[in-house]
Amino acid sequence: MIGRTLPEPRFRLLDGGLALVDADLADLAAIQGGAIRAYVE
Amino acid sequence: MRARAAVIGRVRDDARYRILKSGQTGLRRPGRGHHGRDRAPPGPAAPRRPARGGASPPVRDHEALFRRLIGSPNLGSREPIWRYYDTEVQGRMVIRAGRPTPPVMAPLAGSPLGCALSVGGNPWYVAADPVLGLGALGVPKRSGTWSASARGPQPSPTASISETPRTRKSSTSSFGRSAGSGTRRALSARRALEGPPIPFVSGNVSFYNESSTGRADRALSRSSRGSVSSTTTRWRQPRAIKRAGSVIVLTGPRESRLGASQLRHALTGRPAAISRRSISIASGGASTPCSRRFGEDSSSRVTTSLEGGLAVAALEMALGGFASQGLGLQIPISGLGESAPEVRLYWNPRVPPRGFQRAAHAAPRPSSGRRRSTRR
Repeated sequence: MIGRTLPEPRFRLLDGGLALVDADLADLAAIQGGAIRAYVE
Repeated sequence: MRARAAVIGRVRDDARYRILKSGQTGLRRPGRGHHGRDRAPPGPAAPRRPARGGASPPVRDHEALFRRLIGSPNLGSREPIWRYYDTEVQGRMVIRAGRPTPPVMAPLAGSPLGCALSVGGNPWYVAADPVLGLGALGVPKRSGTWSASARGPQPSPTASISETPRTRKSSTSSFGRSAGSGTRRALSARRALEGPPIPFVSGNVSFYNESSTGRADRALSRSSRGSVSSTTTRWRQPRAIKRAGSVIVLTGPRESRLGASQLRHALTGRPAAISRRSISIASGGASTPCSRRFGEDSSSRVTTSLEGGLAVAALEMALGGFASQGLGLQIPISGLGESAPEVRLYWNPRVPPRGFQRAAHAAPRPSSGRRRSTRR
């Protein structure tokens, strides 16, 4: 399997001609970074 | 006082007992007496649950599922943990938290002795089978003395497993004899748990209540000792993508089954449904993330992590390149065989660690009989 880095900040998972995931990396970073939240008293 | 009355149920003529909530059946079974002595004629069979290890439901929206997975505590960023909590131990951390490698502490000043603490690993393996799961986490290759205890916040206990330094005697004994008691206790603790495990542990009990899902209530930790110098040279640093147009190569074996994964839990709601043969482990994984240069054109070599499979490993690599260079990543999976896309995206490669087979066969099975001690 060969993938490639992209000049634009997109994250793509492709299956043939179908894009299973095509998302902006800033959005994905926010989702992943917000999975665990610090406790605020 | 005014009397109040309400219709709360109806007598049925089909010998069924039903409890409904908002039109949904909460309990449905053939009517029977309190002790089941007066059996009723069998009614229509309730829908059977899928067999363990069976096929998962198909994924209709991969992107929605992917966002859901990476937003779960299991696959989310651990950065808040080491940013908000004190990870320094008396100023003796050689490798601090937040690095790709496990934190390494040198407890004795001036001594090369180091203690590596890993809070990763795939807890789904342990959830499915604690004996084989611990073996898949690389426990038996050290064959130390293990202990397990059930503790933690209520209502769920926390299975905390720690390794003590290996001795000459325990190094020659089998994994079963050295780890049997602890493994059995971990097994008992695991049986008392419900819901998915969380692959991290923290010294702060308060953290258990801080998951967005409220279920960060158990953990599996492992530790090992060794020379600081050998530790720092053995665990290689992964390289983030650095320039556009670089080639990403996936190496390693592939399987056509999903195995233990976050995806299976997301689709079925069960912690893990795997067969022993489908237990697999990455060559690097959370404890030893590694990526090596692969040819002149490639910038990195993808090594799947213990959790999340190729999709999450690729995302973590992409996030590194995005944070440092603003780059993106494109991964085609069409060349990974004919299995379902979710298998190709979320399966874990099967690379049994050294000693895994020995542990699998030597580990004791819980038995009702009392084992006779051979020690005199």
